[in-house]
Amino acid sequence: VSTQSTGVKPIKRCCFFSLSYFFTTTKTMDSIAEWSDSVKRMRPRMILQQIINFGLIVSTALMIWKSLMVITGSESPIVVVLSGSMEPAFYRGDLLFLYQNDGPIRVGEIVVFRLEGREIPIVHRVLEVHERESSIDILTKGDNNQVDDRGLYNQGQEWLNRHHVIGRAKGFLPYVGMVTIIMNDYPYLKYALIFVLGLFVVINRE
Amino acid sequence: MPSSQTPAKINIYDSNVVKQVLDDHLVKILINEEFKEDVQLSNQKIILGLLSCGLAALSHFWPTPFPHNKTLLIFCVVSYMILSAALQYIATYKEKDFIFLTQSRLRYSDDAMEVASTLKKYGEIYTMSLAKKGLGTKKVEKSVSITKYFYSDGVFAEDKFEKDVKQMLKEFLGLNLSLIHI
Repeated sequence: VSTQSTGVKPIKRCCFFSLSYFFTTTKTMDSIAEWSDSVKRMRPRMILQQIINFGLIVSTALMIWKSLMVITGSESPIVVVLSGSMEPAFYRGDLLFLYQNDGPIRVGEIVVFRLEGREIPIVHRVLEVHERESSIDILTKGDNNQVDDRGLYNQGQEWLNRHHVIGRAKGFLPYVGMVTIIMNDYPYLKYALIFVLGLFVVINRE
Repeated sequence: MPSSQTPAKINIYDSNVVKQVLDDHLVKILINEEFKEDVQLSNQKIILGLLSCGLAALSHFWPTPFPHNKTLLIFCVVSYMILSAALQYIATYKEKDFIFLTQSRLRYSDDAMEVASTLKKYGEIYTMSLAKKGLGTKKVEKSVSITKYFYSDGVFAEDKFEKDVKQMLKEFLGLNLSLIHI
């Protein structure tokens, strides 16, 4: 806990100082004055159109994500590897592309599964598969772990079933997911980024 | 006469602000001349935009969990793509560089027009035009250097601009009369 708090505080102070410096430089004050002038000059219909344009940008991003969900069949088509339990195949910060279909799950496949009650899915390799008439039992293990995942599963759960699996790995991009990890570890960075991006979209009348 | 809305000074090297100021003032003059905005195209865009955002919200907030709402998602994504294409079409072919569309002042006066303007990025020539609605060929155009309308310290010379716009408007209305005579 002590290392966590010393890690977060300096980042928070640094963000605060850089943001206040950014806003107190005269150039930004001029831009804000220019922006408020340009908004005052806009007719109400144009302001409505600007708000709708902002909504459209957000909607486009959302729609691209939804179409990826449909194409790959997985509810989470792109995920970031959070831990080092799959080294040397995947390192922390790698981006993983997933797909999902009803085909058989085989030993050796890399699957992403979500346990009941846990929010964060886990990406590990399938160690054992027991096929029954209408269901399958799966046991997984991280490449870099000493033991299989039974210790990770919920109390009393010994196997995974098909409904736990939200996708299988198809491809990956190294390091690209680091941005998400940094933003998750330092949420102030995420809010600052969203704020600045939103500001740019609204300020730009074009 | 300086109005409360026009800024006393702007940055004349920023083409976007220069075009905005000139466009806004052009529209203001026309509104003062009793021209009302024709909101049909703008309404179409707003409705399409709201529908698209609604589709996105629907696809995201529908209570069924993922694998079961696949048909709904496919419907939303495809409709969204169609609406986006329609919006793009309107922006490229119907809207072009119009900044204002007006209705006829009186039912029989037939002076509805499409007001367009262009100013290249970092360019010096501001071109404004009043075209008869639908008949793009019947139009009056005026290209002026922006140095005529702004003092070097950024103050907007409203009166000079107003004079040019009023003269252009007179030419446009004169065009209409000659059409009626023919």
